[in-house]
Amino acid sequence: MTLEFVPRGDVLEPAAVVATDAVARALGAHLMQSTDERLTRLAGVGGDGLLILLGPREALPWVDGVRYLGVDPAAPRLLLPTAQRPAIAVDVFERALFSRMPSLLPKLAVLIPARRVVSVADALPVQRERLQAWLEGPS
Amino acid sequence: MSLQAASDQVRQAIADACQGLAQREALVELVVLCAVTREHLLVVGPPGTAKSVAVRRIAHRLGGKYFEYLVGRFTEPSEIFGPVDLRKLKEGVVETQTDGMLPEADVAFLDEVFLGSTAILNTLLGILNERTFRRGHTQLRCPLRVCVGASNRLPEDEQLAAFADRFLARIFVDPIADSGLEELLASGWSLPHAQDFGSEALAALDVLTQTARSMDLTAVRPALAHGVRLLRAAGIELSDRRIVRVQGLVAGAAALAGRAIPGEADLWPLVFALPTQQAQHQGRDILRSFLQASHNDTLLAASTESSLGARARGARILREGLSVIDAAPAADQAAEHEAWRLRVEGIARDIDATFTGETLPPELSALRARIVDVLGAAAQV
Repeated sequence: MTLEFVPRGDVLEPAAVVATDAVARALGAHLMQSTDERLTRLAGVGGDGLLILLGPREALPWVDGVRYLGVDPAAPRLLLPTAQRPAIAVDVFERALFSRMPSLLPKLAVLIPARRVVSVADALPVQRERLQAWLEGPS
Repeated sequence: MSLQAASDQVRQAIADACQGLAQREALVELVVLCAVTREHLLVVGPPGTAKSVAVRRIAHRLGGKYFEYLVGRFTEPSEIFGPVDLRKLKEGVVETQTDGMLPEADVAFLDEVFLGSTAILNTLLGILNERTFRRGHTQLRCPLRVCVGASNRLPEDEQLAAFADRFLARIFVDPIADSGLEELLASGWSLPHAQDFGSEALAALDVLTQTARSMDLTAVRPALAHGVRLLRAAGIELSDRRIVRVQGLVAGAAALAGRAIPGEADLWPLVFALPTQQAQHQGRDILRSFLQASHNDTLLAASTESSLGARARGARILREGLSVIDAAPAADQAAEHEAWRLRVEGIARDIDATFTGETLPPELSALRARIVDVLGAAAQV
């Protein structure tokens, strides 16, 4: 699906942070230095060159290059860029995504400009051992 | 005094009043907005959430006479309006001595206002509506600019709800969130003592009040009506009185921003005129697009809180970021340095969550670049 995203003035509250490739590794390494208290507030999914962390705004980490996702009330099953929205109605976009990818479970993280959609339904609490294993996995 | 000078002076007064207050800037700003527009403010929140501290600090900073009282079920009218003059009473005249009491105050704060007796509330109604104190033979024009009422919850009783409707603006305060606890502890410990600032800010308020009263709202009325229609379509009703009077808040917001003509940036007070906390939450969502142009350098926290708009947020992020980034503790103070680093990281998070590369304003882009340098250097410490 080729779709343009445009800036949105009504910024969404961050509920997730996403990083890919080198930024993902930097984010993971940065998170390894965080306190246990911060880690317990986060859940995440990690893949090949991809890291998505879910949690309250104040617990979401930052490194240069990450992007933040939030929930638009009109499309509650999606995690959308906090500062951008699809050029079509958000609820229509949500329905279109699920009709094209019926096997994916919500919520779906919409990654732009990578143009990927990732389900975070299987997000697990962030633990140092899992994070270390992900960092040591295939780069 | 010019409009801009008056706006700048009041902005400084707000900044001074907010020193040492954690996350109560919007409350302070709304007191000022209501003082400019001669409306009243209701603050709803649990005990111990710095409601009275915030009002007291801005009242002292503005100057003029301040009256504060914790109302109880057995509070006598004389405790708020003044005792009966006994000498006059002997002559058969019922007059009230109002020295130092609410009828002579420029700013008043009544905690647990809804606990007041019928006698108190009826007399208060006259003061709130007409700025006139009537009791016995006493009839007095009151200089009251704003009355702030506080309560733990909104009243359910119909008569009290009617009284509550006299407070056009409402703000709901919650205890500080987990993320703000360090700020609360630090600011509460170092809360500056009250100082005498004179009454220069009152003169500035007068300029802003006159400016707001004389504003032409023709250009924004269609937009304001559209906002009310959006709310009604979502089942949120505003009384006709509130709809008419919210124009005053819009004009006041423009004046406080130094603008002689209100525009789309000044519509955000509509959210604070919504009567319940749930209505305000829903209103913010419903009016997201409607309020995205909101911006007010003087009432930064209130405009940001009501509008969720990127521009208002950006100004606030810039102000916070500049104050944090230059306050790095020494590297050997490990705990303080880590706390500071987390705050800087939070600023970066706010920037990247609010703006894209294309929409990032130049001043925030510069701040972001400094943050990247600073956090890179901190990581090497």
